[in-house]
Amino acid sequence: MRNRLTDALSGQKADYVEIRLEEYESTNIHFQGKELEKISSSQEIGGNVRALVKGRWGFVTFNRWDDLEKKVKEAVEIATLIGDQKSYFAPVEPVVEQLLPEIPESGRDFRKVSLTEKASLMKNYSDLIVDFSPQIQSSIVDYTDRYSIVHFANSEGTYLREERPYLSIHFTAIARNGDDVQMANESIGTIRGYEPAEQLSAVAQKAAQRAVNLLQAKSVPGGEYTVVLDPLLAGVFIHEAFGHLSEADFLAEDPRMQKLMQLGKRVAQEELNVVDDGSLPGLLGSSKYDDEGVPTRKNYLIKEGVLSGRLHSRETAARMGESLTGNARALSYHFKPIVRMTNTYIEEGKIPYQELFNDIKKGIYARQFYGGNTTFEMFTFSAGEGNLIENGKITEPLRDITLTGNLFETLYHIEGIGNDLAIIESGGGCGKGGQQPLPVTFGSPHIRIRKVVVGGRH
Amino acid sequence: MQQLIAKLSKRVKSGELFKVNYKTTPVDYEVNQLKSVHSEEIEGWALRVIKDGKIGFSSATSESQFETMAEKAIEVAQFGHAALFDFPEQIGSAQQQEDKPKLYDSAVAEESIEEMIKIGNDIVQRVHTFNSELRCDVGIAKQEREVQYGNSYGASFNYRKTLFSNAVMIQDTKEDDMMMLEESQQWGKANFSLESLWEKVERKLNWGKKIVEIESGNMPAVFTPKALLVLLLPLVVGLNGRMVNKKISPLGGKQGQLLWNSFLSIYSDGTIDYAGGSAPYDDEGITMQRLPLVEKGILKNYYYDLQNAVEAGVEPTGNGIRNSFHSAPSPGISNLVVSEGEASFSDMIKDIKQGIVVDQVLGLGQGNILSGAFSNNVQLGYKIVNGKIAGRIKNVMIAGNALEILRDIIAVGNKAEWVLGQYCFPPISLKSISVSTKD
Repeated sequence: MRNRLTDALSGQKADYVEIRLEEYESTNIHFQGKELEKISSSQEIGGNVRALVKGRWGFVTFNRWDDLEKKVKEAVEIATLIGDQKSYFAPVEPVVEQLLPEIPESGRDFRKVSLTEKASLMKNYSDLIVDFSPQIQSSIVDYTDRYSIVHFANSEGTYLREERPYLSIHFTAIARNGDDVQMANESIGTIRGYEPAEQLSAVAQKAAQRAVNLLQAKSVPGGEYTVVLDPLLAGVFIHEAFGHLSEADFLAEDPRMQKLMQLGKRVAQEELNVVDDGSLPGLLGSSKYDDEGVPTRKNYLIKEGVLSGRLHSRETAARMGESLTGNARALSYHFKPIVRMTNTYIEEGKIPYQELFNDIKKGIYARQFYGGNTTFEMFTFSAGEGNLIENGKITEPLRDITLTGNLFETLYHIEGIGNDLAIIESGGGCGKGGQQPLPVTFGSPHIRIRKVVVGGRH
Repeated sequence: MQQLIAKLSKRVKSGELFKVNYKTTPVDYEVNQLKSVHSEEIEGWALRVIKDGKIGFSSATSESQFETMAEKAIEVAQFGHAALFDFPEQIGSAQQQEDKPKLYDSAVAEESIEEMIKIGNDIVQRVHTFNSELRCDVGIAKQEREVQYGNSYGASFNYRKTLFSNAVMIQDTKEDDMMMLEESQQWGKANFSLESLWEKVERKLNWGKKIVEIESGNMPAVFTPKALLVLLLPLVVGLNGRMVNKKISPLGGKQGQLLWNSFLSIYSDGTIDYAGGSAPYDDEGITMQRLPLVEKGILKNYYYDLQNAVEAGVEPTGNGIRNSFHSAPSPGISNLVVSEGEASFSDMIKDIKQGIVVDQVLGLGQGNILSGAFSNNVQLGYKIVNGKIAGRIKNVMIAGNALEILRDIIAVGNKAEWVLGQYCFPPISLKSISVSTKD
């Protein structure tokens, strides 16, 4: 394969060309209530060629591998048609390597697990949720596994062949009382084979318990509160509200955005450190190289409250004159690699997290999440559940909690960082530019933030 | 296709093969400059079989994978859901007109990259003539699609479809404020005018120049066509025949009831020429139709695919839609159309002493949609004072229950707009909505 790709890449008049070929097989099992609703198996073969000529990109995607020379030519032609300036592309040492998955030795490869076994495991989880309480009206259990083999080669001599297993399981429990319908979600994602899928009985029951609890919860009254976020929600917050702003493709050609995100600028109190690290072993956002063949590494985005780094592709690093970080990622062969996060987390603080609640007169303890979203400085994210905090005590359950605000104000308002860092591998992922869901992890200890706007009724 | 599917006749009771080819060409601008051109050709195959009364499904990306696909579909059918239906023996009816709706315009297929770049340059130039400090990202795209279907009863159909779209994102960055406006247009026919897009962009940029303060409270609100999906999404989910059959829709068992007020009429309509969601048949060969979902506030129909229609004991509604070729059909909306009312936009705001216009929200669909609850940041919105737009609002959340709040529509606009090529909505004004902001 390496020779085939190298041949196709040779002799092109372009500043840079790469080919990515991908093949995968995937299984999906979908239970709704106690019934197996859908089961399917799919195979996909595809690829793309990306060419850089005089600062502009030509990109061609296809399903047939039989005429790679022609696809390379087409991409170069398109780029040549629009190329009209200097190309920016940071140099990187070419690598030739085969990358196999980090499934633990004792672990199981899900391709070798029978459909019968997978379906019956999911049936067990469905039963656990539905039988949890008479108030559970229905449930969804969705299992997906996918085994991809990716070949990557570029005009500089890099050739990578990587096998990537991915497995996710989503639980939704739906509880109902008359017209009141409440949902709770739990999920996991993993690149460590089949075993994590077998240990989820407690997670399924937790989804059911949370849905039933929500029936008793009151809608949160809208207003401004001091909030305590659990590690998952705090991790989603730092990912959504701050992490995306650190992605240099928003900044590289926009001087006004660069000014806003100037390195060295103080954005938070000294205790806050934020990291993105694709080189952590075996996590959902991890890989040895990114999708441009750049080694991943640990990058501080905020160090001691000061903006200290950002995430780059080869193009953005060159445009901004900064070093490579290994953050160019593509969801699949349908897409170009763009700047993405990997494993993003707030480093652990010193405060025992129970103490974060102390002396809050009226606040909200927000946990779990439905979703989050951001556009530049504005963010919003929805908690899956929560409680009122009154005089330092956690009191009545709340629901429909959506937090919003301006990132820079909110970072400054982080006033307590707990000592209980957790990095969470959920089955969801990150979305950007239509590339969704990209596997990432969210991490944080409990944190406390003052003056957060919470939407709700009056 | 018929020959391929015929190969399975001894191994399964019946089967259906679905094939789609896309050819898409997006031209993308980032930060006011042409950045890349993408040429995408995608082929997808999906096989659904019924064996021993159960459904099996498999998908792939080329004809050469057919045998693997057949093995996998038959293997998963052992565990599959019981088939309550069988594939149609005939597709369409004798009365059905040929080539209805219109979907294909060869001018879209033939549009050159150079022409698309001209359109992109035109948009960037207009934005910069308005204000040279604005950042502008533009996407111009054309798509040609061919859908083919055949089943083991010899029934088949195929059609071709084109789509052309222009999208613009404008950003104004200042030290303490960022404004972001998104507008787009999409249609099956080429050469539509930029004027309607530009008219909206210019009006909204003018409205947004000044930032105004607003206090928390309940107040009247006007939702623009672009923002209306916030309120309609819970309804779309709740009217899904699958959700109703599963008894998890709060709208189940309420057909024929007056649930909202008489201003509200909503249709799933796949028969509109050149609209994004239109097709002669849904993705399992049932003729698409104009299906009333809500008429004058009365819940008229739920929407179904074949399997769920049989389960509910009703006729299928032509709403069996595949999210992609990797998934089997399930109930989905073709085009969602809200009937126009009589009010002009200025009529809608003229009697509002203090209220808001919601134009873009963050976090669409991220809450508990089934229950109707919504809670969104108003990413782009305006304050109405004494019947006029006073300026742009910031750091504002709206919240409520969409299924309840739609009872309080006080006016519906007389000019519907297409949003994302698939939703045709007029603006709508509501008596009162909960608005939260900083103390």
